[in-house]
Amino acid sequence: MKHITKSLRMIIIATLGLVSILFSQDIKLVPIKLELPKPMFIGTPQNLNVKNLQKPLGKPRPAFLVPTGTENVALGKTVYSSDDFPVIGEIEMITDGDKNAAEGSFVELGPFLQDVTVDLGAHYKMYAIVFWHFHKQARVYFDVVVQAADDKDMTENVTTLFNNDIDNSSGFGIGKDMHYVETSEGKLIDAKGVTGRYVKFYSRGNTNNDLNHYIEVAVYGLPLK
Amino acid sequence: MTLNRTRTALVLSIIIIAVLFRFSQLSDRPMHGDEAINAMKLAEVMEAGRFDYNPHQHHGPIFYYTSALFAVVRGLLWDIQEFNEFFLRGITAFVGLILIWLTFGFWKSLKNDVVLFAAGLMAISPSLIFYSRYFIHEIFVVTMTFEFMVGIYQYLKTKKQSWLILSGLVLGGIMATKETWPIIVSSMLGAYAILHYKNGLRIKIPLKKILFVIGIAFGLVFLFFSDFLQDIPNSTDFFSAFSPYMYRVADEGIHNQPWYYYLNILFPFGYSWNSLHWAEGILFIAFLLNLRIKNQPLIVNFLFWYSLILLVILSIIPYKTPWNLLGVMPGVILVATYTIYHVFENPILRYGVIGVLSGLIFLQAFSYNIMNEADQNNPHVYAHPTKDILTIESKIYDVADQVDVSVFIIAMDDDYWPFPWYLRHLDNVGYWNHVPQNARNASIILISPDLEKELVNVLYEEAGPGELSLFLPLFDEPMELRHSVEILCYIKKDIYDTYMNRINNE
Repeated sequence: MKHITKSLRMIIIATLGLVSILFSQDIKLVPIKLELPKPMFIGTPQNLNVKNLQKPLGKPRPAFLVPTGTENVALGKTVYSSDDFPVIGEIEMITDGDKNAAEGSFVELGPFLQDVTVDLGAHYKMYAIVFWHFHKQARVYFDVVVQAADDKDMTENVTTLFNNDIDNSSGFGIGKDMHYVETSEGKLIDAKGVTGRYVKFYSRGNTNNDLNHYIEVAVYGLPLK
Repeated sequence: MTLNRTRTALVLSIIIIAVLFRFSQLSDRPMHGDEAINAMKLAEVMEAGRFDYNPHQHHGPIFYYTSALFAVVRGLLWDIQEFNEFFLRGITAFVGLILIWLTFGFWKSLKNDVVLFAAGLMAISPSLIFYSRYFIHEIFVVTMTFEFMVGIYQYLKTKKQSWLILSGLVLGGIMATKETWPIIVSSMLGAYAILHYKNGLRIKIPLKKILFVIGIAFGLVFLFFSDFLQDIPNSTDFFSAFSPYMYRVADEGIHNQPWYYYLNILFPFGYSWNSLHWAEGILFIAFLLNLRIKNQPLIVNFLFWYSLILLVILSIIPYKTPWNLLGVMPGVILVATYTIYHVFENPILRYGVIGVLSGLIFLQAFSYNIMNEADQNNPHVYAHPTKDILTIESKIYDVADQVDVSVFIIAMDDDYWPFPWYLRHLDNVGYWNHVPQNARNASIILISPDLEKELVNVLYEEAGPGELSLFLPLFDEPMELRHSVEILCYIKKDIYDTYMNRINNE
């Protein structure tokens, strides 16, 4: 009986080992190639006279590298906004995966400082965040600030990942990041492996008008072990 | 008078062609890992004034000390920053020219035309040119071996002591250059033994003179291995080299090749179907046909058997690298030339054959050394870096011109050469055979794919929140260190952003 139990145990261990080998993923760095919308610049763009403005790359941005298994954990997740009644669109559109700039794909929030908060539904280790404000025209959005935290009110484990508020007009401190022109590639920021459940995006108007827009927000990460 | 002028013109033409083939576009081919290591070792010798011999990794000191002499003559400072590909390969190219010049040492036994044509074929020999443009030990060994034969040959003709001294010195030179010297000496003894039993050859050199030559050789070996008496205990390194070499020869290693490997270089089946690349193979057939010729000069007989025995021994040893074939080629060329000259008695036919063969060899040499110098279809190209390495070098220097960078180069078994050569002008470069814990501090990472999993662990798994950085591929296309050996190239996102921003603002 003892022998049978021992043999059974060995068979189970061997089977589990084999299964784990068969189903284990080879960990490597994989490039995340975003499915990008078509560029939508139309008409003669305005002359952008913005301080601390980053020049366009002049070529497609390289794919960013993340560990195997990393995916957009914001897709389809709940979004909250400082503007409960958007001028155009619905808040849910911000995480619906549609990155097009056409009518029906973007949300227009009111003027002044506005924000949207994505609830990832669980804690994640975040590697990269990509977001699109509005890329139908070459615009620059002001006071773009991105924060991650453990709670919706952004009080616990808060990390500021991006801040281009160069004059501290929004009160998050002077931002060292540069202004950038919105394109169909979106803005990619390095999330530096911060952990958290909520990601909050602020902005305060743009070079075209005082309104705030969001087309899509994507957070690339892995569930926290 | 006219004949003399013609010969002078021919000799001058041979020298000019030899120089052009050996010195033009010397910097174009990427540095081989072995060349890069030799360059770094040379820098060490120049800085320290002594040679730190590692019998497991490196060859003997003469190569480095001689190269150091060239550096001093060129007025280069004691720093690798001053070196470049042209200077380093120029040294071996110069030694390759001496090899051709040595052919003229056989004037007295061979017909003038044979020596001239042999020198001409050596000037355009694809393999002799290839390894003359290669900063490794082989051309040194082959030239000194040929010089040893010329020295003994001249001594037997003239009985002048100076030829014996020269022979002793070059024999010591061979011994202090590469651990393969016993194969060379065995081949010479084997050739002598065959001629002794087959042709009744008796070389009349008294035993004490032979001991004199051996004494000079060992004296020179002692001088170099002891770093000119600076480090006498170190001189025993000469003997300790045999054990690793024997182990390497007997072991199932990555350089083990089938017995016909060297023949496959001469007859490049599987490499290239270009018929132009068969010229040295035809020359080898002419060399073998020499067996049918009776009553020929002793030196031709000797070179035939020496080259054949050397080829057989090298073919039997499983450890094979293409440059070992070089030792066989001077003998093959000289014997083949003599054979062609002897077989074709009609001058028109003789010069016609030599002319056509020379043309084919010339084209093969041009293809192997100028057109396809780093192409995998060239059988001499062995574990050679692809030209991707020049793209990587250029990109890293471009980034470093704009941003302060730290470059981490990580490869299993330290297989990251020749990067230390190419990135020698950068201060902040590190090399590892494993992924270091501080890899996340790197601005640029070059890593072999087999260590990628470890890198992911260090960069993404073990990094605490906020310590991690996003990396981007440095290139749009995959990069190869060598043919089919990928090297992954990553750049930290913030470094990339700063770099792009600065070049866009320029």
